[in-house]
Amino acid sequence: MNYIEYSHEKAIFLRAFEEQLPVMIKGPTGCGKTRFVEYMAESLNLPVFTVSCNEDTSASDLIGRFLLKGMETPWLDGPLTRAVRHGGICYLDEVVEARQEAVVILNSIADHRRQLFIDKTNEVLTAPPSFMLVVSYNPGYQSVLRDLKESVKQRFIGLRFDYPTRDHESQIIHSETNCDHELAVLLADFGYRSRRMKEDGLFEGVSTRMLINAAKLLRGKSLNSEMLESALVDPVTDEPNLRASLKALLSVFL
Amino acid sequence: MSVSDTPQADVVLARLLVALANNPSGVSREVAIHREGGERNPAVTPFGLVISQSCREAFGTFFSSGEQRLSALAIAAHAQAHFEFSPLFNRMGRLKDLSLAVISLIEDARVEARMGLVVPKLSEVFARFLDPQKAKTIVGVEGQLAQIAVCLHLRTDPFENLLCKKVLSMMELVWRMPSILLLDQRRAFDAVREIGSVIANDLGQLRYRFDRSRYNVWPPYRDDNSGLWSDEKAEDLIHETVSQGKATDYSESSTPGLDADRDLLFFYDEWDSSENRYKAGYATVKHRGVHVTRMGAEIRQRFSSLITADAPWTKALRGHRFSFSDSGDNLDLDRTVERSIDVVSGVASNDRIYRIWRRRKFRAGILFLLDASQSANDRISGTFLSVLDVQKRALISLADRFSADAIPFGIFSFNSNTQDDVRVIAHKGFLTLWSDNERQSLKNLQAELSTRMGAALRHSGAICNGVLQQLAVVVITDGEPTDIDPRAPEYFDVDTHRAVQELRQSGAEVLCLKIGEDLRGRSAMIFGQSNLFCVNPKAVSPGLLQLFRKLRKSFV
Repeated sequence: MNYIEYSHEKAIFLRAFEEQLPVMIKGPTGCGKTRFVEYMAESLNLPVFTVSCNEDTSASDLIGRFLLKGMETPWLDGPLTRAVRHGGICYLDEVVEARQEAVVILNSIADHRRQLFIDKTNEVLTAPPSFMLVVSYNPGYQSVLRDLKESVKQRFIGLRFDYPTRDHESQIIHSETNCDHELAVLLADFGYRSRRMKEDGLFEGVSTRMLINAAKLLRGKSLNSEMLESALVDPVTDEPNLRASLKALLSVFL
Repeated sequence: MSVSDTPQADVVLARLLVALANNPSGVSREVAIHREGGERNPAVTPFGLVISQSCREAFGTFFSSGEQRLSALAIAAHAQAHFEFSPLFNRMGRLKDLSLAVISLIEDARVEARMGLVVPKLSEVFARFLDPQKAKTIVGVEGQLAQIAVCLHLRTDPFENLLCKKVLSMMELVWRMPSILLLDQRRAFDAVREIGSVIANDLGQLRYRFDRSRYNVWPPYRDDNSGLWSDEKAEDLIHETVSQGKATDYSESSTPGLDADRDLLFFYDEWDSSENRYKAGYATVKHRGVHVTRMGAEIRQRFSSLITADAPWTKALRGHRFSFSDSGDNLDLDRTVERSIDVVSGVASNDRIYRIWRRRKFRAGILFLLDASQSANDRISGTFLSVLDVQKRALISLADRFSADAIPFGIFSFNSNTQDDVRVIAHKGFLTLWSDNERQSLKNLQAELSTRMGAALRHSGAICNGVLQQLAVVVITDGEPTDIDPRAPEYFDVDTHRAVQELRQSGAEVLCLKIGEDLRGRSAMIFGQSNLFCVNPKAVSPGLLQLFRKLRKSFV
C-alpha cells in the first residue's frame, strides 16, 4: 500500500503504538485518514477492525451481543472485543456520530487500564500490546452539536490531518492513479481553489479522494466537461451559483 | 431549467475571485453591477469588480455554455491579477490618454503573465481571447493596441509589426528579471510605465488619433483600467459607481439611518388590552434595507431542490425521528429479539422496545430581530461596553456560526417613537452573503428611542409571509417592550405577547435572547419560560451556546 507522508504522522503513530496509547485522527473528509490507518496497520502487520460509526451505533455494536441460535443464545464478539482479544487496530471512523453509550465504553480501554468491560458476559478483557485503538472524525460541520466529551478526548494522542499542499496533493494524485503529471497538477490546483470557496457556501471543499477519483476517470481520455463535472462538481453541490463557479474554474482543463 | 436554477453572474464572479486569490488571507472582494446600461468593460476598484448590466444578463442566460464559463474565468482571473500584482491608483502625472492606454495594456500583460505562473494553464485561458486573427480585423490605433496585446501575450510577433517588435524587445528585460516581474509591484509598474511611454510616443509619431471616450479595452474580458490611475474625477466616479450600483441592485443601504424618501410604509393592527380589541392599522412601520419582496423568494430559492409536485416545499422540511418507549403500538423487532435474548440469558434487559414516531419540523431560516432602543446604550457595570455592544457581538457571533454552516439567516433591527414611527432596518437578507458590508451595517447601528416590539414582530411576520411557518424568529433585547405614548406598562407586554402568539400560530418558532443585568423580568411571560434565553452581559458564551444548540438542531 502506498502512502505519502506530509508531516510526522508516521513517527507519532509508531511511538503511540509502542507506548500503547490510543490515537485520535481529526481531519476533513477525503484527506487520507482511513488510508493512513490502513497503511500503518500494514506496516505493523496488524489486522484492522474498522467500524464506520453512525447515529445508531451502540455499545453492543462495538462489544458484541447474544444471538438466538435454535434454543441457544451464543455470544458474538463485536469488532472492538475481537481486536482486544486477538490484537490489532480497532478503527472507529467518525466516532462522534456514535451514541454516547458507545463512546463511553472506550474510556477504560483508552487509558492506562487498557481493559474492556463486557457486562453481559461478565468479562474483563485486558488488551495485549498488539492492540491499538484509533478513532477519527471530521471536526468541521457539526462540531458544536456533536463532539466528544473532554473525558474521552483527553485519553487520546491527537493527529490533525488536513488537505495536502498543492505540490504534495499532485504527487498523491499521480502516485495513486499514474495519470499525467500535468493532469495531477491541474487537479491539485482545482482542489486547492475549490477549498477557498468553502467559506463561501461550500460545506466541504473538493477532497483529495474526489481528485483521485477524477484522475482515475480522466486518465488516458480526452477531457470533456461532462466527465469533469461528474467527478468534481456534481458530488459537492447543487447550488446554482456554486455549480457555475466550479464549472468556470474547470474551464482551465478544456 | 427553472428561474431559480439560473446562476447570478455577480455571485459567480465573486466566488471565482475568492477561488483565484493566491493569498490565503486575501480580502474577499465584491462584484457590483454598473448603474448605467450599455456594453462596457469590467472595472477594477479597491472594493472589487464592477460589471455592466448587460454582462450580468448575458451570463445569467448562458452560464451553461463553455464559452461563457471561460469568459467568467478570464474576467475574474484578470481582475484578481490586478488585485494581487498591480499597484492601484497610480499618479497620472502629465501622461496623455494614449500613454495611459498603452501603459495599461502592458500592465495587463504583465499581471496576466504573473497570474499564469501561479494558476496552471491560465495563460491558455487568456490566449483563447487574444486571437491574432481578430486583432487584425480591428482598425486604427485600437488595432495597433490589440496587436500589441496579442504579441505581449504570445511573446512573439505574428504580425510582423515594428511596434510589436519594439515593445517585445523592451519587455524582454522585464520578463528576464524575475525580481521585477515577480517581487516588486512598484518597480515592475515603473518599468512598464517607461516602456509604455516610449511606445505611446511612437504611436503619436505615426499620427494615430486616440479618442479616450470611444476606446474600449480589447479583449473585453479585460478591465477598463480606470482603477490603475489616480484621477480624482475617475476615483470619485468609481466610488459613486460602486455605491450606487450596489444600492440599485440589492436595494440595500450601506449606512443605516432613516431617509424619508426611501422608507417603505407598513401598517399593522395593535392589541389594546384596555379595550380588549385590535386597533386596525394602528402602528406604522417604516422599513428600509433589504428589499422586502426578496425575503420570501430567497428562502424558496434555497430550498428549491426539495420542492416537487408531490411534496410542496412547505411540507418538504417536515422530518421524522423516532425514539423508544416501554409501551406503544410499533414493536421494534431488533430490540424485541435482543430483549428476549437478554431474558433467556438472565441479564438485565432493555424494556424500551416500542418505537414512537415524532414529527420533527426543520426550519428554513432564522430571522434575528435586534432591539436598538435607547436603553441598549446603558453601560454594563465594570466595563466600557454598552448593552448594544454586547448585543451586536452576540449577534455577530451567532451569524458567523450560522454562516459557516450555510444556514440562511436575516438580520433586522428596530426601535420606535410612538405608534406612528416604528423603524425597522433590514441589515441582511436570508441569502445575502454575511460579508464585511453586513457586519459594518450592524456595527454602525445606533441605539435610540423606544421598543414597540409587537409592531416589529408583526412586520417580520408580514414580510416573511409564505415562508413564516418554516422560520425561527429570535428577538435580541435588553428589556421589555415600551414606548413613549402614555400607556399602562402591561399594554405593550400584552400586545407583544399577542404578536408572538400570532407568529407561532403561523408556524414560526419565536425565541428571545435577553442580554442584560436585569434577567428574566416580564419577558418570560411574553415569550414563555422555555423560549427565553437570558444572558449575563459579562458572561455571554454559555447562554449563547445554549441558544445556538437549540436553533441549530432545527436545521437539516
